[in-house]
Amino acid sequence: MGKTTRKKSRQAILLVLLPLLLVLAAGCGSQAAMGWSSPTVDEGVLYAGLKTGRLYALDADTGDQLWAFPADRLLAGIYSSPVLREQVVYFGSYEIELSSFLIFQSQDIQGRAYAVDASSGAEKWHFPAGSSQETEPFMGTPATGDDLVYFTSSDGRVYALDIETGVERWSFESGDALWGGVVWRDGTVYVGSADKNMYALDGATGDTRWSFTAGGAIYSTPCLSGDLVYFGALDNKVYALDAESGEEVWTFSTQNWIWATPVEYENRLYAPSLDHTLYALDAASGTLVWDFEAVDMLAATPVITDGVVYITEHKRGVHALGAESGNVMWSYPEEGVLVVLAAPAVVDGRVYISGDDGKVYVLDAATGKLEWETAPGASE
Amino acid sequence: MPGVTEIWNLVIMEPMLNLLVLLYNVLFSNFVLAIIGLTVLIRLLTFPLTQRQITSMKAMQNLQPEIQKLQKKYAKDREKLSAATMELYQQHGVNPMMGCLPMLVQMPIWIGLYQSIYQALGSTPEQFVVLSQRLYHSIPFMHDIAARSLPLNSRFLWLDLGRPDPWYVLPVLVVLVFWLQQKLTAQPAADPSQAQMTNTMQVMMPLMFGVITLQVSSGLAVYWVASGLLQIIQQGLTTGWGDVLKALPTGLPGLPRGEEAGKDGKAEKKRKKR
Repeated sequence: MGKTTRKKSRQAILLVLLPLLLVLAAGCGSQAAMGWSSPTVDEGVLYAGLKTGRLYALDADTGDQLWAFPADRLLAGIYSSPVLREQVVYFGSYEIELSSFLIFQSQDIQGRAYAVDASSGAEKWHFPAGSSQETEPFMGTPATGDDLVYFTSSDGRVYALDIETGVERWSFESGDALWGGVVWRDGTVYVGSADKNMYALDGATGDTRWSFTAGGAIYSTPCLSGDLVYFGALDNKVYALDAESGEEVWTFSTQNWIWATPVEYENRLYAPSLDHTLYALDAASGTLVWDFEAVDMLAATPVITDGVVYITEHKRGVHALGAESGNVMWSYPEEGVLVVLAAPAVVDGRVYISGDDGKVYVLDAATGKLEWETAPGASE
Repeated sequence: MPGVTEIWNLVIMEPMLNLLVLLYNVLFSNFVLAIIGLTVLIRLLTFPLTQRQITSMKAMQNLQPEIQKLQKKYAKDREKLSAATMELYQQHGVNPMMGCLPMLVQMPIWIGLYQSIYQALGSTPEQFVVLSQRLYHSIPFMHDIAARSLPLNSRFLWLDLGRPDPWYVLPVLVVLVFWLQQKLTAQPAADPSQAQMTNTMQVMMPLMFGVITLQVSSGLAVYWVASGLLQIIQQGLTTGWGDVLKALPTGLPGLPRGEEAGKDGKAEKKRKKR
């Protein structure tokens, strides 16, 4: 082959590769690792769904791995936070089934609800159990009530499953995807949908008790406190509704979407907005008390304990603020970038955060100093 | 000081993304129509450039017989061949750079369009929260439109526009449209090695895009098909439909044979008159 021919062949290969490079440069060529599950601590064990594709149980003092689920494969993502009841961990998954035909490869995006033994990491059941039924990803944090566990799915349904067997008792179909979690109280299930409605359902039957239409899609898990139910929507508003009737009590407008759950603590509502601000409102009237302006978006639910608000900021780690004043007590890291999308867990004087880098960071809750960090599954 | 990514997002991607959401609202909350609408708008904006590109390529194609004569004449003297070729281009008012320059200018627009389609679909929570930072919330009517429209309905016929086509219809369409585009824009080969390269390109490029389509959101594939078809229509209206028909495989029912189709083309008629 002559030099000219070889050169032209190389040029041809380069030209053929150009579109591929363009698509990759445009950020749509590959699927990055996903998930932003908040960790949970119970009886000295930290349960965290990490971006490495598994739910891990770690010793909350040392970070030693107790078990990982599933042991034999990786999940595409875990968005829901693990919920514990009677030594069983419940969480939902985002899974991608790959199938191939000759050179063709297709992705089938699914989700499963899992019940896992908290001491051994062994699966108790998963839903859907058979291969004939497929469900969309389970993104929201589940809730338990009576003898049922409630999961939300991207297919727009709330699934009420038998807590012992995982068998479906009822399902409720909303008009669009459900990405937020469910809250159960006194036999009523509260859930927000991307169809712009907040629903209150009978926990035993799935019948609608009331629904309220907001001005935008609802991805925020509701917060129930006293007589009110609080949530945010994509119309940039925080809503307070009467939990019994679903009637609007007050609204508060921000400059961008409300993604996270607003949290009530000692008559104040702490509402993070994607406009980079945490708003502290009077819980009864919705009047602004103070606000804290962050640099990046606040997409995670705050955790409030002992008069301190712990809030994660998209690329700036975690901040501890005085609940009364909004003053910053400490930030971790003090400088630089740490991407955190999930809410922290604060237990026994420690703050546990699940980073976007697949690591778990454990900080002293009083000072914000790093105690230890671990990256389970990083070597796999 | 803002980085290149911030400037890119501010100047290219975010205006397109907001326009896409606006079009979705205007065009019956149909994302396929919004993609086609935005593609048409961008084609109209870049029309002067693409038009010059098409006419320049056509002029280059018409000059090929004369260039081949020069290649035979100056087969052993590359410098003279180059000078004579440039002189020929100057005589006919053809700028060889005009074939690829408009394409380079358009590249950022196409990449911005890819990104805005991908971003608008927000098929995972990560994409969705980033979308919140790209929308013009400070413009009241855009805020209202976004609150009303989002999440965009990504369902269209059998497709979820945020995911690859499960029935492989779009990958096949992408291959066909890209193949036809390649046939229309290919320059006649001057020698066997160039002919081989052209043939490889004509097969590999569409196949590569077809394989990419298997992996990416079908919304992007809709854009590729729409954009490719608009390019073919523009080419047909500019240089005559004969060229388009000539590029199709012969023997297709209802179509004239390749040579006959070529004779019907405007350019062929002009050449005959000369």
